[in-house]
Amino acid sequence: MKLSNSLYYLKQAGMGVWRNGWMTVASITVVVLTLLILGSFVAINLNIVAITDDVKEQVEVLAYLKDDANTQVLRQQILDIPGIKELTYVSKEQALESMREQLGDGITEALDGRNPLPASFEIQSNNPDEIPNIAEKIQLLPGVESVDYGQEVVQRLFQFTRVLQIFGLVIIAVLGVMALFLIANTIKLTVYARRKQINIMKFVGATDWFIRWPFIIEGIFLGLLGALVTYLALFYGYSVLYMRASVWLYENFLSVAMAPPELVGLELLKILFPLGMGIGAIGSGISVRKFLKV
Amino acid sequence: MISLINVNYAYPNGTSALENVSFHIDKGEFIFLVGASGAGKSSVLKLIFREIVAKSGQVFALKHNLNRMKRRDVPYLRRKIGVVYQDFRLLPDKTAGENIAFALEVIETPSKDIKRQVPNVLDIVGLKGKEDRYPDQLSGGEQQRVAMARALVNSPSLLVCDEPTGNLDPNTSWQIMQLLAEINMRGTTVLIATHDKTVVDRMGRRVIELGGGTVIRDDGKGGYSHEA
Repeated sequence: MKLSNSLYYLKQAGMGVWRNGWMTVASITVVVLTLLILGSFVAINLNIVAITDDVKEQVEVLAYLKDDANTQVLRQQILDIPGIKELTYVSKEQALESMREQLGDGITEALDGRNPLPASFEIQSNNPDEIPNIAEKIQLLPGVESVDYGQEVVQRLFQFTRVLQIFGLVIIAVLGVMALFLIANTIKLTVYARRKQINIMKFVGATDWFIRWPFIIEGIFLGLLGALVTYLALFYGYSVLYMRASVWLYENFLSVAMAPPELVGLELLKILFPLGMGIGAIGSGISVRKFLKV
Repeated sequence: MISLINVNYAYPNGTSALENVSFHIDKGEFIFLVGASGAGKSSVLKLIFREIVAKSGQVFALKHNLNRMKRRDVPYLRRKIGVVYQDFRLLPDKTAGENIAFALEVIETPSKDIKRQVPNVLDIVGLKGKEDRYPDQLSGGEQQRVAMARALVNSPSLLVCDEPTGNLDPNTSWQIMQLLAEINMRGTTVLIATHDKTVVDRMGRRVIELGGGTVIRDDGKGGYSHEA
């Protein structure tokens, strides 16, 4: 693309955007809607990833021991399992003590001096994904009564993410096609208004790309504008939400970290702008095609 | 310059438009292509202009084999063929000069060349001093002259005219024909599809007559028809 041509293309594209008025607004709106939903899914997804990672970090295996278990031997056996990071022994007394802290002094009286709580090991892993395997192995060791870990929570989170992702993809696809056709229709107005010019250009020997560029640029411009509006709205909206939610999580003593706005903003930038421009370019390409067949 | 060899063409709906058409046009010739509506004149012009491609047979124009020409090469063929239509096809919001300049701009001609060529070609078609007029400020004949100037401005070796006098009165038509003859004198091959019997008879040039999609006559110095 030569510089002198670029100026011509830009001028023609600008005229198209200006002249189409409401159709321009309408197609930008649909691009914004499409990208808004897409962007929201991106933001939600990032948070789910952040939260699941967070939860996974906190997951540990609790191995409850039989009263007659040999803790020294068991300790070594557990440490021999690959992937173990840390091991903490909680004796029967410590377990009772922490229970008393949580439920109040009354509990010791109610138990009447007996201690029904088992001793346990709290086991952390280097790799949270290894937790189910580790738990299974510990379960088989002699002296282990039962094993408990938060795998169910993690699995449910994963399932939820997957459903959400599929659902999101379908909606985005449908809206994307709609945006494509609205842009195509908007550009078609410009193309139609200039069909005489296009016809003359064709018969004096202008190349197809020379004819096509102004329309492609007009389409890209519409997509870009849509992406920009969406980006600003989502970034601002998410930042506000992030602040409110963080305060709420803190007040409710939930140690869950949301994805920070900077990260979400960066991801949105990477997805929204190429997609908006792509939709615009393809949409206008569709509408010029027919008029070039001369 | 142009050769059609046993060309067949059918419309997209399957109706045959041209059957076994063959003729040859040399450089510098001045030819009328005549025949009733639907005889296939337009199809022949479209073949030469590579708007359509022959079903079978060979079409050569300006040393190109048009059957084998790639789509992206078509614009460059068209830059060597000037074309004039019955309905002029001028842009109403551009002046005569701008209409001609437009044809050069869109094939990426440097603007200093455009500035030089436009007055030249307006002079050739006899519109000197009228380059700032808009099409609706010009008579039909003058508008057709603008269209001819636009067709000629890139110095094509072939000028194709589709009913160039179809919308003009006999007097004006004759003047346009004189201009076309003049252009031919300068070395441009001129091919004119027309209904205009009077003009064809008066010019006394080579006539290719089409009927029902085939060449029914090819006369060196003919009139519109034998009976004439």
